[in-house]
Amino acid sequence: MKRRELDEKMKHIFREETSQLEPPDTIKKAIDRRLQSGSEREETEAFDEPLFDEPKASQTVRWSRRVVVVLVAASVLVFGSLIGSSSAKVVEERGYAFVDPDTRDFAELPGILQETDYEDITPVEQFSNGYTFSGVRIHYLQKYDTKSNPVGGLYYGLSITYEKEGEEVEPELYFSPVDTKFEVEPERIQEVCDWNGVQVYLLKSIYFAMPENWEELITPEQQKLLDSPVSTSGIDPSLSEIEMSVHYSYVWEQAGRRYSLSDFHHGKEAVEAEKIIAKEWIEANTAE
Amino acid sequence: MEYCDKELVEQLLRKEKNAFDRLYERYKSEVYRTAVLLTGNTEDAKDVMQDTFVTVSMNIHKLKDVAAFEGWMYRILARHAVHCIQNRRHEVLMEEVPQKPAAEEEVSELLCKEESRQHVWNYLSRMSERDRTVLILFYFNEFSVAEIADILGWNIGTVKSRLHYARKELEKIVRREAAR
Repeated sequence: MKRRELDEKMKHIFREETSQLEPPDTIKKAIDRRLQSGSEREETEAFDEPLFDEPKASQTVRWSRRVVVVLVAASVLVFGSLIGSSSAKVVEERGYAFVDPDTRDFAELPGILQETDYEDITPVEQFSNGYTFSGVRIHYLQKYDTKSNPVGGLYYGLSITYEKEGEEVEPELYFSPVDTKFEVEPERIQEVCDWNGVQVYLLKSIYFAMPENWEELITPEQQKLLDSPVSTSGIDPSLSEIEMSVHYSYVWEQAGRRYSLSDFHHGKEAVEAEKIIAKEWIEANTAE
Repeated sequence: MEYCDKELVEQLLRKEKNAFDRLYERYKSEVYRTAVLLTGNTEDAKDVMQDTFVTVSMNIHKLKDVAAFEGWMYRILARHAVHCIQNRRHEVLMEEVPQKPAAEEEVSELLCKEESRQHVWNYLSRMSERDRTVLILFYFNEFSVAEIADILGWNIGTVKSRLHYARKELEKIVRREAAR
């Protein structure tokens, strides 16, 4: 609502501030002179060319190590099956989000959901275990083909974080549109639940956060573990060493979106809280 | 007699007498105001307006879809404005960031204040050319996101995300102004 009000006021101000501006007659005379002089030539510039280079994700990133890790991790955990299973020759999804949440005010969340094409989602402010909304980040996503050419346009993922006073666990619920087949290695599945007809998987992952020169740094033991079906990995340009951590995530698909709920810093101790959050989110977003 | 855009363009294509004058009369105020907003001053806006109408007149036969005339014309206008700004090579010095942001006040309320309204030009001059162009096309010309995408040659998603950033930037600037 606030955004719409801002838009309306801005439109009004633009109109009002320029309403007195009228082009002087000299402009028309100058145009006529130029057209009649015969000195004007057709433009050789192609008008169909973009006026500005279209902003690419990598050009506008204010990278935060944590955000990069979270996003890459979320992408790999949730979209680990993306490579090889998509029919659109998409081999990679890249994205970025800002360090600070786009808002910490729950009242602004409906506006963000609307702006990012998630207006049908019912957000939850507080769950029965006391975890309360603490912020939302918009992730700007783009898919790329084998030659790193963009496939389709930019689209959005959202990550909503929750916190509880006195608790270190801060679950993050990430979701984005589904357009690939959901496949997961059986070794990763710790539990399968059915809540309101939605299949929810608790997945275990050993996550490798890799610097760009990881191939020079990886040890034989790390390589062996990396090759196991439980492991996933992502490149984080801010790292100088390989970092490894164990994650548990609740993953499910609902209404055309794929969700991943996890705390990338607290492993299994976050699972109990996340189980309630996942269940209640699904209930809130299940049609009567 | 009032002609629609399509008729005016077709008249211009047939090189009918006064066709260009009628087209000019239809769009002169809107084009001039947009040029002032994009360039930030009336002198450059006059040049941009001249260049825009001359380009339109000389290249109208290249217009592929007569119904898309308005977007095509604004694409030309935006292109001339950006070239003008780039040629001007005038750098606007950023003002110091104030220490106390007006976080509590709603941006939309701040915009109602007369003193903030006078800073609209300042807001625009501080933005990148890209974000400023998106904002002006959206707020002043009231083009849809899809139309802006067509004018700038971008994907719709890109326009949405730039608009999102531009709004955020606008909010920050308005708050800074209010904290002065």
